[in-house]
Amino acid sequence: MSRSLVIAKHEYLTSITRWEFILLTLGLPLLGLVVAATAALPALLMARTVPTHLTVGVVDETGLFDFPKEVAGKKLPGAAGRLAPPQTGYTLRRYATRETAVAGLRGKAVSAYLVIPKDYVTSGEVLTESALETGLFSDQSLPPLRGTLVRGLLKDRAEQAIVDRVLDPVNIRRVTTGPGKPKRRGPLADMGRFLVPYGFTVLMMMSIFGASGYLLRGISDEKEGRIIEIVLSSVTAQDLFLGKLLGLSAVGLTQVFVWLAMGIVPAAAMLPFVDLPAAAIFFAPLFFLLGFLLYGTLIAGIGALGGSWRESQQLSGGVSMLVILPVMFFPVLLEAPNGGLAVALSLFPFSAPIVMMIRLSAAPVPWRQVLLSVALLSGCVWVAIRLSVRLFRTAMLMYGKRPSVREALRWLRAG
Amino acid sequence: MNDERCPLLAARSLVKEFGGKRVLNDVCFDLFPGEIVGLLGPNGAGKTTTLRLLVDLLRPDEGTLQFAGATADRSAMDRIGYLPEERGLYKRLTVARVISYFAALKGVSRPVAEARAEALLTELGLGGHLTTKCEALSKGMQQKVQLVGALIHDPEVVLLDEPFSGLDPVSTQQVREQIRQLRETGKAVLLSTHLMGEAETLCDRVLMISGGELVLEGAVQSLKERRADGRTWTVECDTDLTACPLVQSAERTRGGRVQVVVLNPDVVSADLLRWLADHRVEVQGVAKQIPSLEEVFLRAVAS
Repeated sequence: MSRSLVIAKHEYLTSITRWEFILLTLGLPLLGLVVAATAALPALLMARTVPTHLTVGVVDETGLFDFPKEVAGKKLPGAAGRLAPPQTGYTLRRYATRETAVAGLRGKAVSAYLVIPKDYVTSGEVLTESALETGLFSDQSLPPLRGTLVRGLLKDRAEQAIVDRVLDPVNIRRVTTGPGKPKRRGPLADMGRFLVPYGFTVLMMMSIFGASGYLLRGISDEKEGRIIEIVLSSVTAQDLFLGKLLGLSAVGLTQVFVWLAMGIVPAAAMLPFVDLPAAAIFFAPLFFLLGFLLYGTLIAGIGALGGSWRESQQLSGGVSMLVILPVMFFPVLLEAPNGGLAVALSLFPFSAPIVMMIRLSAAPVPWRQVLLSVALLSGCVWVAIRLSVRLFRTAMLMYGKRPSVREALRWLRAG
Repeated sequence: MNDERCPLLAARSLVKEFGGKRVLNDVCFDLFPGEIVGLLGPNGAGKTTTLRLLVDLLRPDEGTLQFAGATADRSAMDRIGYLPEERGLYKRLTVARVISYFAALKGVSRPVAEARAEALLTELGLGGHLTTKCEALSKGMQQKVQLVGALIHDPEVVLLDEPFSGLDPVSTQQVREQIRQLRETGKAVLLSTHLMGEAETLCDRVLMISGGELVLEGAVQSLKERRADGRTWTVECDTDLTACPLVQSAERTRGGRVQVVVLNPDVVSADLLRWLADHRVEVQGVAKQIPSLEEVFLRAVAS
């Protein structure tokens, strides 16, 4: 086994048995479940408290409208129906005057009443009164109201098709053009454009921050624990650096694998509704690995300059900011995935992993740009490793002392 | 340096500079199989830098290193065992895991490493501690585990930087025996220490470094004899010797001895004994005084 692999194995086994790793890897998805459950709780409570049927009085002082007598409540199908409250069904009772409607409310013949006043056509106002236990309702919470009013207003003034369009004016059906056949997109298809790069970014950030934390902890432990001199007398600084990077990359991938495995059930439930971009899925592992190596390398190289773990964390904080930066451009990039900014950021190695994933998810990207991005990113990883090894080799033998910027630059030049 | 044997490790004209300051200048020495060589020098003399150059932790600005007659490359490091002055262990791991890891870094398989570790730990009084976590060991025990880590790959050359620091007398004796055993099995040991007594007891030869330069080198006894001034004698008697015309000064020391300094280094013990006999002084013994290694060291550093 090569020395780098020996170190990688040691780093991997040491890291995955740390309690911080186990807590983060298993705890994070569980925390997500708790948050999701907390968010669903209000809907569940509403489902239990919203009345399933109400009797409502109607006073039409204009004489224009023809309210139905019964409106059945609806329930959403599938899992959504179990979570969302069912719509309330209504029995509508006509009253000739407001006074009789008020009497009906007082006598509990109706739970609420609504009045369409004489000047409704000019004012648009509708008066409602309800018993306290019924709560307030609007045209959204009383579905027949809007349709009845529109139909009444347009009666004998427009064809049925026009009436239907006024009630339901926009029904978007998307078709995208590009290489291959034009593709029809369903109502939830656009979620894939957002979900894939968003999920990729979150996974990448979480695993980079997690694994780089272990990397810095490992480096500081060896430096502060004075083990590094024994290790470096057996292997070259490059072997040690690559071994650490390899081991910690395996730790990051293990973490991602566990998270993906734990999220596989909810993800599978969404698959029929979401249009997943194949190119993004295909390139995701490559960009993830290259991004992980780039940021991990920089964090390890710069972190080695610190005299202690805390100092190493502070020094490598700038690299963490680089990871987060492309997230700020998310809306712009989704709107114009092939615009100048998106192309530039997807070729710039420090933002390429995340931005290219956004572009690949949002629209077809020319192959040349994808390949150029991979090439630039790979080259940058290579240069970063070379430079980081130089810093690492010298900095690791400096105990309790942080080198100046001038010293660090001299080491970089010295090779 | 005139030894006919082929040295295991040969340093030739080593020069090292840090930030333009020369910390090691033209250092040359050889290490032969089956000898213990002491590397002595005051703080900042360049001892640790020398050791770091030998294990490729630092690269010399000038000079070369040879291992068994060939230019020392990275593979030579697998034949060197190194116990640095700044040393530690992975505290959360067991002794077995730490030693196996150090062994794997030197290319030794786990079963071989575990068998050898068990034997070495037993010799050092730590038998049965393979499954103990390092954080549960005392400082002295940890130090012995570190020594086992340095010897786990059965190296031909062993470099030890202050191996006795922080050890109790029992542990010191165990480590001392281990070092002697290394010599008996034909290893070359370079021992950097501040403890002159240890160096004098253990070492066959010493290298004295001061200000980055090798100021003295040689076999311990030969160095001491060479450094004897020839004028200081120890006489075991109860008489005041200041009246002796051959003597410049006389001082009574502990144990019934009188340390005398004669006027002329050409005065030999026969002259002195004759005068003592003529004056009927009862004498148990007369010997030319040879300085201790510490005195030789202090004189070398001072000069």
